[in-house]
Amino acid sequence: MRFLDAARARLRLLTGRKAESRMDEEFQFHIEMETERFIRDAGLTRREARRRALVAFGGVEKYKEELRSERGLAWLTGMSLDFKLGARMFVKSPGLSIVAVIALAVAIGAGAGYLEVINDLYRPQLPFPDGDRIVGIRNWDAGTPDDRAVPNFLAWRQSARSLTDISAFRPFYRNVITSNGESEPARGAAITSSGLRVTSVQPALGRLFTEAEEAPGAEPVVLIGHDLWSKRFASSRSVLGQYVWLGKQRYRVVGVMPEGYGFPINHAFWIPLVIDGASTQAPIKIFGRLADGVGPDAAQSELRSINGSTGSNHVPRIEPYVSSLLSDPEDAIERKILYSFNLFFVLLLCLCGANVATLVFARTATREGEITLRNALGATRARIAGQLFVEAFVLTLTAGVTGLVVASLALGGVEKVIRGVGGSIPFWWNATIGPATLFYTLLLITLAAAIVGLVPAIKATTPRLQSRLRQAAVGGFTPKFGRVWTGVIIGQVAITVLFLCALVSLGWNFRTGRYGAASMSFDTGNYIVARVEHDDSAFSGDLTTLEQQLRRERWIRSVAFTDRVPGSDYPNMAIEIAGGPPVPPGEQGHWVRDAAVTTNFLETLDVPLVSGRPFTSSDAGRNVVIVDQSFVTNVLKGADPIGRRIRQRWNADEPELGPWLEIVGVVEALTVSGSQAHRKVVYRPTAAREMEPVVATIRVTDDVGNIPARLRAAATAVDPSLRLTNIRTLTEVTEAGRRVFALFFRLGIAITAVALLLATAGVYSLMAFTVSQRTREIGIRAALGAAPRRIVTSIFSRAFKQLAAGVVVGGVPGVLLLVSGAPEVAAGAGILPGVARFLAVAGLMLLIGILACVTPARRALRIQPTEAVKAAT
Amino acid sequence: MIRQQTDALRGSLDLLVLKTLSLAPMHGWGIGQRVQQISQGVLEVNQGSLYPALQRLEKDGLITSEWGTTDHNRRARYYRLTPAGQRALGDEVANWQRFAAALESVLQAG
Repeated sequence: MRFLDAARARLRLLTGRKAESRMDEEFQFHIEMETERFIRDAGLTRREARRRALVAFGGVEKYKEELRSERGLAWLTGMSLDFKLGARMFVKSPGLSIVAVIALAVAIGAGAGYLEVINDLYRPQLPFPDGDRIVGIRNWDAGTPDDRAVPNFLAWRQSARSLTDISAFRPFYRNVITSNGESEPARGAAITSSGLRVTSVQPALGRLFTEAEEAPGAEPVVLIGHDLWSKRFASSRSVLGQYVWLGKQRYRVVGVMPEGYGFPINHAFWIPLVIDGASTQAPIKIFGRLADGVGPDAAQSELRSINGSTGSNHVPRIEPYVSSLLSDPEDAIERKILYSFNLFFVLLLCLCGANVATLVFARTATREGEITLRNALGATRARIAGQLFVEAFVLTLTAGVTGLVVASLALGGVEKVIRGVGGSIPFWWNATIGPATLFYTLLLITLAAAIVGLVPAIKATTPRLQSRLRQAAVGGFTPKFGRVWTGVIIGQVAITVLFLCALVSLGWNFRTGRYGAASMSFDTGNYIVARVEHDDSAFSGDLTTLEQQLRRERWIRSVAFTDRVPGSDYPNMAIEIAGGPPVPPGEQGHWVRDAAVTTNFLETLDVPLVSGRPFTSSDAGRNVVIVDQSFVTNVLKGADPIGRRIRQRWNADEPELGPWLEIVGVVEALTVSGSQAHRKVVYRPTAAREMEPVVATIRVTDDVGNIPARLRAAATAVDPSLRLTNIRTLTEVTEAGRRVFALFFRLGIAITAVALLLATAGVYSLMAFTVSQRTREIGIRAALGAAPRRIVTSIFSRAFKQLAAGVVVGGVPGVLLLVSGAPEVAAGAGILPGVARFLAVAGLMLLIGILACVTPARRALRIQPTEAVKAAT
Repeated sequence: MIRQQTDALRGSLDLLVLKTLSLAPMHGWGIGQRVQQISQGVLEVNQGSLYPALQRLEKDGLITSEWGTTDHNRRARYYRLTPAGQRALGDEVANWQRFAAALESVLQAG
């Protein structure tokens, strides 16, 4: 009973507003009763009686606070006041607030954005009713997933009760050919009828499949996605019942799925999954919905017992839907590594927070008198630190919200970039920030507030109250920029110098073409590249027919095939050369690039022949090769290559030595810049049907419109199962590479700018603080006739030393970066250009540091001696 | 003298409140007046400090309170003892008497 009474009493007392009102009323009653007693017993006037009553009561506010403390909610009232003070400080120090918000917003926004991307990749919220109940099912065999699980799937579907709508799908690509002859490849899924029911999404038009349509021999039907419907059928409602060709097979359209629907991943159309004798060994992906009230463990146990009863040795596992789509167990390790990268963003936040903390410390130091007095009047160290923490929280909260907004915009931009380069996004991806990321952001905000607020607070509220009171009385300030803060400022400057060096190195190499996309030695605008694929069992020809068909087009001059886009990274190969030069010690062989090309490839690209002879049509498959000029320079050291023989040495992938190949010709390098310039390419004449992958390189004569459609129509005319994808001009290929590099470069500039801003602000704060601290000394020295130059030198010598120390600390790795990464060093031209660039960076940093000191220096020189002495007293 | 009384009173304020309320329910001002009256002016309760004590005792479930009306038709918060408070009072009185007896023994010792 006592417990219940106490609980009820506590509950009443906790209701803040009611408790406050009750307190006010009780106190008022008490004071009125006491007032009347004084009037009655002592004959005082009402005014005097009330005064005596208040004195007799004691401090009304003091007892109110005590009552609030007893309730345990005094901190709440105090905190609302602290937030108001924090907002006031935010507005009062606009410079510090802007610098801090920018720096922390970058760190918090980057961390939040990164986590959102990773979560959307691995732990997304499926946008369906009870989406978390949709799970993947995989068979595991001795630690490796085995997707050849058709017999298991059939047994589970028949017997399992812990899962509803157990379904399967198999992804594939096909040319989607409409009745007007237009052909374009798209990604589809052969899926069981229950598979689309799992999502509880109804088609926008028509219907879903029936189970009867999964039977072998049933009429082939297809559901198409909204994008396909709007693009290929002009969103016509008469699409139902029309026929489309998927490769060589005709299908009737029975429905259209709503906009944005891409289940199971990012598919554009769906056909029934037909399981017959021929397809039992083909891999499938299995999923289902957990039955009501059933957990994953129970479902897993049931599936295991079903496997056992059918004699299967595989161990089934229930996994989150998205995880089950990862085909490689190493992806799970990759996932852990990607999640652990969050630590980098936490460290970045700690770094930015420490930098901002120096600025806040300088500001806190100017409030030393206020803090000391409050300490003396009874405010505990914890209370003051709490107030400073809340002030910092206002700052970091603003930064966190700003960072989240920027991250959200950036995520939308990422989606646009991926779609722009022809990539596709999983259906569960969205650019909105999820609850997990919001919670993580709140943690980051709190961590930042602890670094920015608590550390300066603890330094500013040291226990030596008496000495602080004395110092406050004589106008001095006890907090100093001690070793810790000195280290932070030196660290700031060092990191800025390092970032600047990295940026200069990257930018210089990009400018000279060493990094970034390759520049070709010919006009790339006249060339189209396209990846050639086909439906595995449907295509039986070779690509010669495709080449002949394409060459019939008057706007196509020639067609060649290779296994990579020209100018991109060909596979590495280790070779030995008959008669030397010897293989470098510790190396497997001379590392070169291996390019499989048709015999007309070099002629198609108009690559000039330097010596020897070009390929002839009879060279295909023969043991001859052509090398490029960089091979002759870097591998043969300029010796005549014609007639020399090379062969591939063994490695883990190729356990046998290759055949000897005779060098019959030398051509100029395909690329004149970019890292590929030193790639040492060996061209092997190969038939297109033996290449994997196959890339068609097409030289065009005229600028005709709609090239992709024309090329696909030509390929479809040869064989409907032939697909041409990623159709782009070579110019677009090199530009895409350049754009990616430019994106990273801009990101580097943004991060370096933030580091520079922080370093400048840190140096400025240190100087402003020093001037404030030594106002009296400066005034006295000026009164005694000291030259302005000497005053400035003595005041700022410490700042200069810290600046110089930071440049030296950051300069050691910085100069190594600039020298080792210099294009001149790679070309053997010495280290001086790299060193010169470092000196320029160091000079820039010193100049910016000195500029940061200008305003405090001018303030110091304007200090009037009489005012300085008066202010001190 | 007054300082000693204040120190002694602070430690026994809870006991005085419980005892006063055991006689009859009373509001805060009235409790202070009654203590002073019964002790014939020797014990003067620090008025403001009464309320934190009352809140503490209420939180512990030893007393309870509700709004009432005084004889002069004024709204006031009346406190009364709960059964748990009655039992606690008995324990505190017994403790106090043991303490007082022990103190008396020490003071009487040669």
